[in-house]
Amino acid sequence: MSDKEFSLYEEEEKIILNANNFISDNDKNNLDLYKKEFLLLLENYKKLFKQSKRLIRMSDKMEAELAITKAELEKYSDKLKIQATTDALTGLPNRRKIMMLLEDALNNSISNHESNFNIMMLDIDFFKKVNDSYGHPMGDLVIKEVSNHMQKKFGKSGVVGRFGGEEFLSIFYNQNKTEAKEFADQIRIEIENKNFSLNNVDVNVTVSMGIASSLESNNLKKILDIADQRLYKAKESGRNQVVIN
Amino acid sequence: MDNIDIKPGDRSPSILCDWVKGAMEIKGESYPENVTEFYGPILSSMEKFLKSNNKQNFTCTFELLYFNSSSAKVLMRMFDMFEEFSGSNSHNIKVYWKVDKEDDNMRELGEEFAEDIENIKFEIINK
Repeated sequence: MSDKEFSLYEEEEKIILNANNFISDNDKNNLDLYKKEFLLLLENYKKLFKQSKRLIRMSDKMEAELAITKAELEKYSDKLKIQATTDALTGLPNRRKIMMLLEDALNNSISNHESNFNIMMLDIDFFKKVNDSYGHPMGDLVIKEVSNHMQKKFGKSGVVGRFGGEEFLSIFYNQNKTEAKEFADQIRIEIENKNFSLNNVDVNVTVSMGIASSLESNNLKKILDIADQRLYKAKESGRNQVVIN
Repeated sequence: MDNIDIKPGDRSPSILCDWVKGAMEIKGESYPENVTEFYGPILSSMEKFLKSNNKQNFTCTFELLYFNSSSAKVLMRMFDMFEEFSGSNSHNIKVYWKVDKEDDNMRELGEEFAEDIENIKFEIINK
Protein backbone atom coordinates (compact mmCIF):
# COMPACT_ATOMS: atom_id res chain seq x y z
CA MET A 1 0.00 0.00 0.00
CA SER A 2 2.85 2.35 0.83
CA ASP A 3 3.98 3.02 -2.72
CA LYS A 4 0.63 3.32 -4.47
CA GLU A 5 -2.51 5.28 -3.91
CA PHE A 6 -4.71 4.02 -1.09
CA SER A 7 -7.98 2.45 -2.09
CA LEU A 8 -10.94 2.09 0.21
CA TYR A 9 -11.61 -1.31 -1.34
CA GLU A 10 -8.01 -2.48 -1.40
CA GLU A 11 -8.78 -5.85 0.14
CA GLU A 12 -11.69 -6.60 -2.16
CA GLU A 13 -9.69 -5.54 -5.24
CA LYS A 14 -6.79 -7.74 -4.18
CA ILE A 15 -9.06 -10.78 -3.79
CA ILE A 16 -10.58 -10.25 -7.24
CA LEU A 17 -7.13 -9.76 -8.80
CA ASN A 18 -5.79 -12.92 -7.16
CA ALA A 19 -8.82 -14.91 -8.28
CA ASN A 20 -8.44 -13.68 -11.88
CA ASN A 21 -4.74 -14.47 -11.88
CA PHE A 22 -5.45 -17.89 -10.46
CA ILE A 23 -7.94 -18.69 -13.22
CA SER A 24 -5.64 -17.52 -15.98
CA ASP A 25 -2.50 -19.13 -14.54
CA ASN A 26 -3.71 -22.58 -13.52
CA ASP A 27 -4.77 -25.79 -15.12
CA LYS A 28 -8.56 -25.90 -15.10
CA ASN A 29 -8.53 -29.67 -14.70
CA ASN A 30 -6.62 -29.58 -11.42
CA LEU A 31 -9.65 -29.82 -9.15
CA ASP A 32 -7.67 -30.02 -5.90
CA LEU A 33 -6.01 -26.71 -6.66
CA TYR A 34 -9.37 -25.19 -7.60
CA LYS A 35 -10.99 -26.52 -4.45
CA LYS A 36 -8.27 -24.93 -2.32
CA GLU A 37 -8.69 -21.63 -4.10
CA PHE A 38 -12.48 -21.85 -3.82
CA LEU A 39 -12.22 -22.38 -0.05
CA LEU A 40 -9.91 -19.38 0.22
CA LEU A 41 -12.37 -17.26 -1.74
CA LEU A 42 -15.21 -18.50 0.46
CA GLU A 43 -13.30 -17.48 3.60
CA ASN A 44 -12.62 -14.05 2.16
CA TYR A 45 -16.23 -13.70 1.09
CA LYS A 46 -17.46 -14.62 4.59
CA LYS A 47 -15.15 -12.05 6.18
CA LEU A 48 -16.18 -9.29 3.79
CA PHE A 49 -19.85 -10.23 4.02
CA LYS A 50 -19.65 -9.89 7.79
CA GLN A 51 -17.88 -6.57 7.39
CA SER A 52 -20.48 -5.39 4.90
CA LYS A 53 -23.33 -6.28 7.27
CA ARG A 54 -21.53 -4.46 10.07
CA LEU A 55 -21.02 -1.37 7.88
CA ILE A 56 -24.70 -1.25 6.98
CA ARG A 57 -25.69 -1.62 10.64
CA MET A 58 -23.33 1.19 11.62
CA SER A 59 -24.51 3.38 8.78
CA ASP A 60 -28.14 2.85 9.84
CA LYS A 61 -27.26 3.83 13.40
CA MET A 62 -25.54 7.01 12.27
CA GLU A 63 -28.44 7.86 9.95
CA ALA A 64 -30.96 7.36 12.75
CA GLU A 65 -28.87 9.54 15.03
CA LEU A 66 -28.64 12.22 12.35
CA ALA A 67 -32.39 12.12 11.80
CA ILE A 68 -32.98 12.63 15.54
CA THR A 69 -30.47 15.50 15.62
CA LYS A 70 -32.08 17.06 12.55
CA ALA A 71 -35.55 16.88 14.13
CA GLU A 72 -34.22 18.42 17.35
CA LEU A 73 -32.50 21.19 15.41
CA GLU A 74 -35.66 21.96 13.45
CA LYS A 75 -37.66 22.13 16.68
CA TYR A 76 -35.05 24.41 18.22
CA SER A 77 -34.88 26.53 15.10
CA ASP A 78 -38.70 26.97 15.07
CA LYS A 79 -38.56 27.95 18.73
CA LEU A 80 -35.80 30.47 18.00
CA LYS A 81 -37.74 31.93 15.07
CA ILE A 82 -40.75 32.47 17.34
CA GLN A 83 -38.57 33.95 20.08
CA ALA A 84 -36.88 36.27 17.59
CA THR A 85 -40.20 37.73 16.49
CA THR A 86 -42.19 37.69 19.73
CA ASP A 87 -42.17 40.12 22.63
CA ALA A 88 -41.35 38.14 25.77
CA LEU A 89 -43.59 40.11 28.16
CA THR A 90 -46.78 40.32 26.12
CA GLY A 91 -46.45 37.51 23.58
CA LEU A 92 -47.26 40.08 20.87
CA PRO A 93 -45.28 40.36 17.63
CA ASN A 94 -42.17 42.39 18.49
CA ARG A 95 -40.85 45.43 16.61
CA ARG A 96 -38.97 43.28 14.09
CA LYS A 97 -42.07 41.21 13.32
CA ILE A 98 -44.44 44.15 13.12
CA MET A 99 -42.02 45.89 10.70
CA MET A 100 -42.01 42.76 8.53
CA LEU A 101 -45.83 42.70 8.57
CA LEU A 102 -45.90 46.39 7.68
CA GLU A 103 -43.58 45.84 4.74
CA ASP A 104 -45.82 43.01 3.51
CA ALA A 105 -48.93 45.16 3.93
CA LEU A 106 -47.30 48.05 2.06
CA ASN A 107 -46.10 45.84 -0.82
CA ASN A 108 -49.58 44.39 -1.02
CA SER A 109 -51.21 47.82 -1.11
CA ILE A 110 -48.80 49.05 -3.81
CA SER A 111 -49.69 46.12 -6.09
CA ASN A 112 -53.39 46.15 -5.15
CA HIS A 113 -54.95 49.53 -4.44
CA GLU A 114 -57.89 47.95 -2.66
CA SER A 115 -55.52 46.69 0.05
CA ASN A 116 -54.88 50.01 1.71
CA PHE A 117 -54.37 49.96 5.46
CA ASN A 118 -54.03 52.25 8.44
CA ILE A 119 -51.50 52.10 11.21
CA MET A 120 -52.01 53.19 14.77
CA MET A 121 -49.21 54.16 17.08
CA LEU A 122 -50.38 53.96 20.70
CA ASP A 123 -48.48 55.17 23.74
CA ILE A 124 -49.52 54.77 27.39
CA ASP A 125 -49.67 58.24 28.94
CA PHE A 126 -47.34 58.97 31.86
CA PHE A 127 -46.19 55.37 31.94
CA LYS A 128 -42.95 56.30 33.67
CA LYS A 129 -45.02 57.60 36.59
CA VAL A 130 -46.73 54.19 36.90
CA ASN A 131 -43.34 52.51 37.17
CA ASP A 132 -41.93 55.12 39.50
CA SER A 133 -44.95 55.28 41.80
CA TYR A 134 -46.09 51.66 41.88
CA GLY A 135 -43.01 49.71 40.81
CA HIS A 136 -42.11 47.70 37.70
CA PRO A 137 -44.45 44.75 38.44
CA MET A 138 -47.39 47.17 38.17
CA GLY A 139 -45.83 48.67 35.00
CA ASP A 140 -45.51 45.19 33.49
CA LEU A 141 -49.11 44.38 34.43
CA VAL A 142 -50.37 47.55 32.68
CA ILE A 143 -48.36 46.69 29.55
CA LYS A 144 -49.68 43.11 29.55
CA GLU A 145 -53.31 44.08 30.12
CA VAL A 146 -53.27 46.86 27.51
CA SER A 147 -51.75 44.36 25.09
CA ASN A 148 -54.40 41.69 25.92
CA HIS A 149 -57.19 44.20 25.55
CA MET A 150 -55.97 45.40 22.16
CA GLN A 151 -55.38 41.88 20.93
CA LYS A 152 -58.94 40.85 21.84
CA LYS A 153 -60.35 44.02 20.36
CA PHE A 154 -58.54 43.67 17.05
CA GLY A 155 -59.23 39.95 16.67
CA LYS A 156 -58.77 39.14 13.02
CA SER A 157 -59.36 42.67 11.77
CA GLY A 158 -55.74 43.69 12.31
CA VAL A 159 -52.46 43.04 14.03
CA VAL A 160 -51.05 44.51 17.24
CA GLY A 161 -47.36 44.57 18.03
CA ARG A 162 -45.22 45.91 20.85
CA PHE A 163 -43.12 48.57 19.20
CA GLY A 164 -40.96 49.21 22.24
CA GLY A 165 -41.38 50.24 25.90
CA GLU A 166 -44.94 51.43 26.39
CA GLU A 167 -45.55 51.93 22.68
CA PHE A 168 -47.72 49.66 20.53
CA LEU A 169 -48.14 49.64 16.78
CA SER A 170 -51.23 48.22 15.12
CA ILE A 171 -52.21 47.62 11.54
CA PHE A 172 -55.89 47.96 10.56
CA TYR A 173 -56.87 46.03 7.46
CA ASN A 174 -60.04 46.81 5.50
CA GLN A 175 -60.95 49.97 7.38
CA ASN A 176 -60.89 53.53 6.19
CA LYS A 177 -59.35 56.22 8.34
CA THR A 178 -62.66 57.35 9.86
CA GLU A 179 -63.55 53.78 10.82
CA ALA A 180 -60.05 53.33 12.21
CA LYS A 181 -60.48 56.48 14.30
CA GLU A 182 -63.80 55.24 15.72
CA PHE A 183 -62.24 51.89 16.52
CA ALA A 184 -59.21 53.54 18.14
CA ASP A 185 -61.47 55.80 20.22
CA GLN A 186 -63.32 52.73 21.53
CA ILE A 187 -60.01 51.24 22.64
CA ARG A 188 -58.97 54.55 24.21
CA ILE A 189 -62.21 54.84 26.23
CA GLU A 190 -62.14 51.19 27.29
CA ILE A 191 -58.57 51.54 28.57
CA GLU A 192 -59.45 54.79 30.33
CA ASN A 193 -62.27 53.00 32.17
CA LYS A 194 -60.22 49.98 33.07
CA ASN A 195 -58.78 49.30 36.53
CA PHE A 196 -55.35 47.77 36.62
CA SER A 197 -55.10 45.90 39.95
CA LEU A 198 -52.12 44.40 41.63
CA ASN A 199 -51.89 43.46 45.33
CA ASN A 200 -55.03 45.45 46.16
CA VAL A 201 -53.68 48.57 44.47
CA ASP A 202 -55.67 50.01 41.56
CA VAL A 203 -54.18 52.13 38.82
CA ASN A 204 -55.84 53.86 35.89
CA VAL A 205 -54.09 54.92 32.71
CA THR A 206 -54.98 56.68 29.49
CA VAL A 207 -53.52 56.25 26.03
CA SER A 208 -52.70 58.55 23.13
CA MET A 209 -52.73 57.47 19.51
CA GLY A 210 -51.62 58.68 16.10
CA ILE A 211 -53.11 57.14 12.96
CA ALA A 212 -51.66 57.21 9.43
CA SER A 213 -52.85 55.64 6.20
CA SER A 214 -50.94 53.84 3.47
CA LEU A 215 -52.68 56.23 1.08
CA GLU A 216 -50.51 59.02 2.48
CA SER A 217 -47.21 57.57 1.25
CA ASN A 218 -45.62 54.62 -0.51
CA ASN A 219 -42.72 54.81 1.88
CA LEU A 220 -42.92 52.84 5.10
CA LYS A 221 -40.63 55.14 7.06
CA LYS A 222 -42.71 58.11 5.95
CA ILE A 223 -45.98 56.44 7.07
CA LEU A 224 -44.41 55.64 10.44
CA ASP A 225 -43.15 59.21 10.76
CA ILE A 226 -46.65 60.55 10.06
CA ALA A 227 -48.19 58.28 12.71
CA ASP A 228 -45.44 59.26 15.15
CA GLN A 229 -45.99 62.99 14.52
CA ARG A 230 -49.74 62.56 15.13
CA LEU A 231 -49.04 60.64 18.32
CA TYR A 232 -46.83 63.53 19.40
CA LYS A 233 -49.63 65.92 18.51
CA ALA A 234 -52.07 63.88 20.64
CA LYS A 235 -49.65 64.09 23.55
CA GLU A 236 -49.10 67.80 23.06
CA SER A 237 -52.85 68.44 22.88
CA GLY A 238 -53.47 67.01 26.34
CA ARG A 239 -53.17 63.20 25.84
CA ASN A 240 -55.99 60.62 26.00
CA GLN A 241 -56.98 61.23 22.38
CA VAL A 242 -56.66 59.93 18.82
CA VAL A 243 -55.20 62.15 16.08
CA ILE A 244 -55.71 61.34 12.42
CA ASN A 245 -54.69 64.57 10.69
CA MET B 1 9.48 9.09 9.90
CA ASP B 2 7.70 12.43 10.25
CA ASN B 3 5.00 12.85 12.85
CA ILE B 4 1.52 13.77 11.65
CA ASP B 5 -0.37 16.79 12.94
CA ILE B 6 -3.55 17.47 11.01
CA LYS B 7 -5.84 20.19 12.31
CA PRO B 8 -9.60 19.57 12.32
CA GLY B 9 -11.44 20.60 9.16
CA ASP B 10 -15.12 21.26 8.51
CA ARG B 11 -15.62 17.63 7.63
CA SER B 12 -12.49 15.95 8.89
CA PRO B 13 -11.05 15.10 12.30
CA SER B 14 -7.80 16.23 13.87
CA ILE B 15 -5.11 13.57 13.66
CA LEU B 16 -1.95 13.40 15.73
CA CYS B 17 0.61 10.67 15.21
CA ASP B 18 3.77 10.59 17.31
CA TRP B 19 5.73 7.63 16.02
CA VAL B 20 8.48 7.97 18.64
CA LYS B 21 6.03 7.86 21.51
CA GLY B 22 3.94 5.29 19.66
CA ALA B 23 0.71 7.25 19.95
CA MET B 24 -2.05 8.25 17.60
CA GLU B 25 -5.16 10.30 18.27
CA ILE B 26 -8.13 10.86 15.96
CA LYS B 27 -10.65 13.35 17.21
CA GLY B 28 -13.78 15.04 15.88
CA GLU B 29 -16.09 14.42 12.95
CA SER B 30 -15.13 12.38 9.93
CA TYR B 31 -16.89 12.69 6.59
CA PRO B 32 -14.13 14.04 4.35
CA GLU B 33 -14.97 14.88 0.77
CA ASN B 34 -12.31 12.49 -0.45
CA VAL B 35 -11.76 9.80 2.12
CA THR B 36 -8.89 8.10 0.27
CA GLU B 37 -7.03 11.39 -0.17
CA PHE B 38 -7.48 12.23 3.50
CA TYR B 39 -6.72 8.89 5.11
CA GLY B 40 -4.37 7.43 2.45
CA PRO B 41 -1.15 9.08 3.73
CA ILE B 42 -2.04 8.22 7.34
CA LEU B 43 -2.66 4.56 6.60
CA SER B 44 0.50 4.48 4.55
CA SER B 45 2.63 5.97 7.38
CA MET B 46 0.95 3.70 9.89
CA GLU B 47 1.76 0.65 7.80
CA LYS B 48 5.40 1.76 7.50
CA PHE B 49 5.55 2.27 11.25
CA LEU B 50 4.00 -1.09 12.06
CA LYS B 51 6.26 -2.89 9.58
CA SER B 52 9.50 -1.26 10.60
CA ASN B 53 9.33 -1.28 14.38
CA ASN B 54 9.00 -4.56 16.15
CA LYS B 55 7.66 -4.99 19.63
CA GLN B 56 6.69 -1.45 20.28
CA ASN B 57 3.84 -0.04 22.30
CA PHE B 58 1.30 1.73 20.12
CA THR B 59 -1.71 3.47 21.64
CA CYS B 60 -4.52 4.75 19.46
CA THR B 61 -7.22 6.97 20.83
CA PHE B 62 -10.41 7.59 18.91
CA GLU B 63 -12.67 10.38 20.08
CA LEU B 64 -15.20 10.66 17.30
CA LEU B 65 -18.51 12.49 17.30
CA TYR B 66 -19.68 11.37 13.88
CA PHE B 67 -18.25 9.40 10.97
CA ASN B 68 -19.68 8.32 7.64
CA SER B 69 -19.63 4.85 6.10
CA SER B 70 -16.42 5.45 4.13
CA SER B 71 -14.65 6.52 7.30
CA ALA B 72 -16.00 3.40 9.04
CA LYS B 73 -14.44 1.32 6.27
CA VAL B 74 -11.12 3.11 6.82
CA LEU B 75 -11.31 2.39 10.54
CA MET B 76 -11.98 -1.27 9.78
CA ARG B 77 -8.87 -1.28 7.58
CA MET B 78 -6.88 0.27 10.45
CA PHE B 79 -8.11 -2.31 12.94
CA ASP B 80 -7.31 -5.10 10.47
CA MET B 81 -3.79 -3.68 10.26
CA PHE B 82 -3.51 -3.56 14.04
CA GLU B 83 -4.66 -7.16 14.25
CA GLU B 84 -2.11 -8.17 11.64
CA PHE B 85 0.82 -6.44 13.37
CA SER B 86 0.10 -7.28 16.97
CA GLY B 87 0.61 -10.34 19.07
CA SER B 88 3.26 -12.03 21.16
CA ASN B 89 6.05 -11.49 18.62
CA SER B 90 4.92 -8.13 17.44
CA HIS B 91 3.59 -4.82 18.75
CA ASN B 92 1.58 -4.22 21.84
CA ILE B 93 -1.35 -2.24 20.43
CA LYS B 94 -4.07 -0.66 22.49
CA VAL B 95 -7.15 1.12 21.19
CA TYR B 96 -9.13 3.51 23.34
CA TRP B 97 -12.58 4.40 22.02
CA LYS B 98 -13.49 7.51 23.98
CA VAL B 99 -17.16 8.45 24.16
CA ASP B 100 -19.26 10.96 25.95
CA LYS B 101 -21.02 9.00 28.68
CA GLU B 102 -24.38 10.00 27.25
CA ASP B 103 -23.51 9.13 23.68
CA ASP B 104 -24.99 5.63 23.49
CA ASN B 105 -24.82 5.63 19.73
CA MET B 106 -21.05 6.17 19.57
CA ARG B 107 -20.57 3.57 22.31
CA GLU B 108 -22.55 1.02 20.28
CA LEU B 109 -20.49 1.82 17.20
CA GLY B 110 -17.33 1.18 19.22
CA GLU B 111 -18.78 -2.14 20.31
CA GLU B 112 -19.40 -3.03 16.66
CA PHE B 113 -15.72 -2.46 15.88
CA ALA B 114 -14.62 -4.35 18.99
CA GLU B 115 -16.59 -7.47 18.07
CA ASP B 116 -14.11 -8.84 15.56
CA ILE B 117 -10.98 -7.83 17.41
CA GLU B 118 -8.87 -10.61 18.92
CA ASN B 119 -5.22 -9.60 19.21
CA ILE B 120 -5.40 -6.05 20.43
CA LYS B 121 -6.81 -4.46 23.52
CA PHE B 122 -9.90 -2.43 22.60
CA GLU B 123 -11.34 -0.43 25.44
CA ILE B 124 -14.39 1.84 25.41
CA ILE B 125 -13.96 4.61 27.93
CA ASN B 126 -16.17 7.46 29.07
CA LYS B 127 -14.83 10.97 28.63
